Amino acid sequence: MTQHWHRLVASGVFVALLLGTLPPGHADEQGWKVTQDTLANGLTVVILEDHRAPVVSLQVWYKVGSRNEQLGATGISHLLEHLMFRGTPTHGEGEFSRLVQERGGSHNAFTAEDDTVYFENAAAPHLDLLLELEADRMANLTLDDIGFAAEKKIVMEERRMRTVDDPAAELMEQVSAAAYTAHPYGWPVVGWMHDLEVITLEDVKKYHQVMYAPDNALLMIAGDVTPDTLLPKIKSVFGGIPAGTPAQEVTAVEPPQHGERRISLKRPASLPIYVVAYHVPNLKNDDSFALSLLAVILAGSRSSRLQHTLVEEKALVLNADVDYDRTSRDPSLFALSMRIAPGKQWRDAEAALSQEIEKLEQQPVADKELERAKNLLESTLIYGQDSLFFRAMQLGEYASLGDWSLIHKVVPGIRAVTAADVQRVAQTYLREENRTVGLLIPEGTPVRESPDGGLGSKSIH
Amino acid sequence: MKSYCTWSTALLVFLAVPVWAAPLGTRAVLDNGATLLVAERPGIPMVVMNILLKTGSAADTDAKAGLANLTAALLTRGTKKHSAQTLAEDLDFLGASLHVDADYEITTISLTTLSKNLDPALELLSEVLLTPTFPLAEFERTRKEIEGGLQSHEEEPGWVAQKTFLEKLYPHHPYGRLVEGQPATLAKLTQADVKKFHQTYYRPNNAIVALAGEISQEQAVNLLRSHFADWQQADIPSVVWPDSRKLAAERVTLDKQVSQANVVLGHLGIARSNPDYYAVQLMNYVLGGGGFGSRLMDKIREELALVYHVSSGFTVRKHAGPFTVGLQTKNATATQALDESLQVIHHFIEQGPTEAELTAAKAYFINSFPLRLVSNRDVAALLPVLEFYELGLDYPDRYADLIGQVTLEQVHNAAKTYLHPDALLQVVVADLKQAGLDQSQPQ
Repeated sequence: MTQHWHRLVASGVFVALLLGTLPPGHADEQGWKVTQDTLANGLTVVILEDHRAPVVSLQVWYKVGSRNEQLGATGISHLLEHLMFRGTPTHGEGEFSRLVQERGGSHNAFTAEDDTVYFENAAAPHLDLLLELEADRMANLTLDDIGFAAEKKIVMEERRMRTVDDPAAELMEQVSAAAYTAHPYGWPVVGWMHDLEVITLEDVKKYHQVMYAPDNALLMIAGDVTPDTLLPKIKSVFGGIPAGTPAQEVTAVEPPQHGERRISLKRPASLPIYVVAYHVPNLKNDDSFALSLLAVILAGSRSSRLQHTLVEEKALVLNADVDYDRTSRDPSLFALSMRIAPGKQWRDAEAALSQEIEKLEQQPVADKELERAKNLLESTLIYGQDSLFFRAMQLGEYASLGDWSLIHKVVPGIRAVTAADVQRVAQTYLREENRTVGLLIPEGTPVRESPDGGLGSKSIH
Repeated sequence: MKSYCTWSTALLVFLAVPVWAAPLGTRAVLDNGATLLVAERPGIPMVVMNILLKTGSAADTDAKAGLANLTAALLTRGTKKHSAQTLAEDLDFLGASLHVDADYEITTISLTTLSKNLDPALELLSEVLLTPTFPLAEFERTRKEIEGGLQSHEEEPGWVAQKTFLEKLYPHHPYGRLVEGQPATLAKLTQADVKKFHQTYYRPNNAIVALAGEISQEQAVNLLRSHFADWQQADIPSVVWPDSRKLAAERVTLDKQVSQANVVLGHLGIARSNPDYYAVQLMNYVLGGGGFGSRLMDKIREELALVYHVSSGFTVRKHAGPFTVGLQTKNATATQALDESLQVIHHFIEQGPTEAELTAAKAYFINSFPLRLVSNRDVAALLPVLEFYELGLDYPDRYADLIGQVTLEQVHNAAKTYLHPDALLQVVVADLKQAGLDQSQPQ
């Protein structure tokens, strides 16, 4: 939940699984031809050769996100991400976009809990330019009062759009805030509104200096490239950037939860939303494979249990979604969310959900059901090969955690899961005392009608 | 939590094949009237299949709006051999995905499968297409689910603004109705309506079948022959299109407890067949379609910092779709953002684009086009569109010329001809008091 919720708001569990949870099936025969090197200044370079089309995807991963922030200055990582597009002395404002776009390339960036990622996708011959642009803003970013004041306002508008006026998103924000008592995953990536107001330009300058040093970054390149000729080029472009002082380690650890937490949010909304989130381990624990399959079996497919029982048979909810990211840097949440159907009660949905979870705890899943979940995940991984960008993303997730080749452990890890494992992780983690429940209570009417009873309407000239 | 544009935009323009070695695919018309397009692309053991039916919600009536969408939603909810659940289980077991989506004038059935499972996946697809049973219980439940979905959208200010805009711009016109219909029209639909809609329109001579991936034209023909032998053609009734709204300025305001005003401005745009299509595309890119560097984004976001995102667009279909400008800004700056946007449009019409702006726009369109056709998914999505709009499979080869030959004068003329800032329909969903748009206040 923590990581992908922010970057891929509407894409659902499959993209999360594709990016984070599950790297490719048949890892070796699928051609993960990877070269890794570390420059003298500490920049890690990972190159994936894929010659099917004359294109490249370049990504710079900075190992910094909301996880590295402090209360009172939340949102600074994401604010800096915005400022990275404001130009350098060499490439003034707007030039970055212009240079990439007129070559037909696309570019963007996203900030998450653990990482901030910048990427460009373009035809292979333009790679040199992309490298120069990224190295330039890593080392020489212009940070001035005018750009800073503007981006602050823009980010506040972003927060209004994504969270303040979206009750479903605000509910998730509140559930995270309640679920974490001691860990920075409890605050939103975009930051609390007041923190955005008080962050200073000096704060951001220091943050850039420390966090955007080459030794805190990874350069991922996937596509039609040859490492032998590319590596010297990368060294000449990035090698001159001095190493930084190591960023302060994040030492926070979320303590075990010993009792259910319940929160509610009253907002103008159409229908209630019910969320339940459990603390679970990440890839450092092999249970994470069973948890990924449990996610699919519960709510991650069309034939899943919650879809079949709660959405279809009992029609208590309009949808049931699951979110679990096994590649979060620290342990995160296994979250289920449901939009209550019109005329139905959230308590009935909660009771039906509890029944389904009890079933998983009491009876092992059928072999065929488990195999179905495994097939679904593995085929999704193969479809992921269709996009070079996704391949680079998958690799980046693991490289950022310390070793891209962790990707090879995933398919064997998934295949080794037994029905008993799924039952055991359900028993171990989906416990009442380990959960945070969030409820969106609609209050007021979504659209107030005008005094005349209809839409306000007038001719203008 | 990206800072740029939208993901959909970013994902559209990914990876590039700068040189075209051959046409995008092959084309054949089968005995039953279906058009078959195949792009053989070895490399990944997968096949993407899109069946485009040339019918969507435009075939609905005002009274029974939502029929095309309900039919599409129910197609996978039971066949002669499978219940909805066993069908979902079988597809999941194959690792295949199957989706049916209705739009205004098309319905798309999409199948993604591993090539090793193509045969059983096509067997399931064939069942769904040819022998759906539309069980009554599923009919009732799905209808309620669609109603519930509509109800939950009501809390989204952007959705409300867009819906209101289209209702006002296209009264009694297919583009003015939600594809999903409304609770009142959904209530009038019957199981018999759905069965009849399926019988009438889900016909091979109304279909474009496109495949991309690890499959040859010959394999595709054989597979279709064996799995879709019973798919019979029939006469397809034509849809009568009413006239669209005349241009007239109007502002519609809706009061909502929100922190941001959601603004949609616009008027009628153009059809895909309009000969000025390419000039309009380039014009719009400079105005507000091009993300960063576009006039609207530069002024309203980068300079004034009023919005996270602002863009303009011409939605092109068989008939004239809307031209819209959309933005969100805190209530207090709603009128400022609106007025500034209007000024940008006015100035743009007066001045037209600069030579440099047009050069950059052309470079973007020409150079990004091949990058949008790298994946099997991209190609399987484009193939039926080329056929539907009669653009031809050599379109990718012609594209650079189509864009390249547009002149600065033509683009300026397109701005003058197709932008009407004095005749805009403006929809504002906001906390009207905070926005200073309260009806009781003089404006």
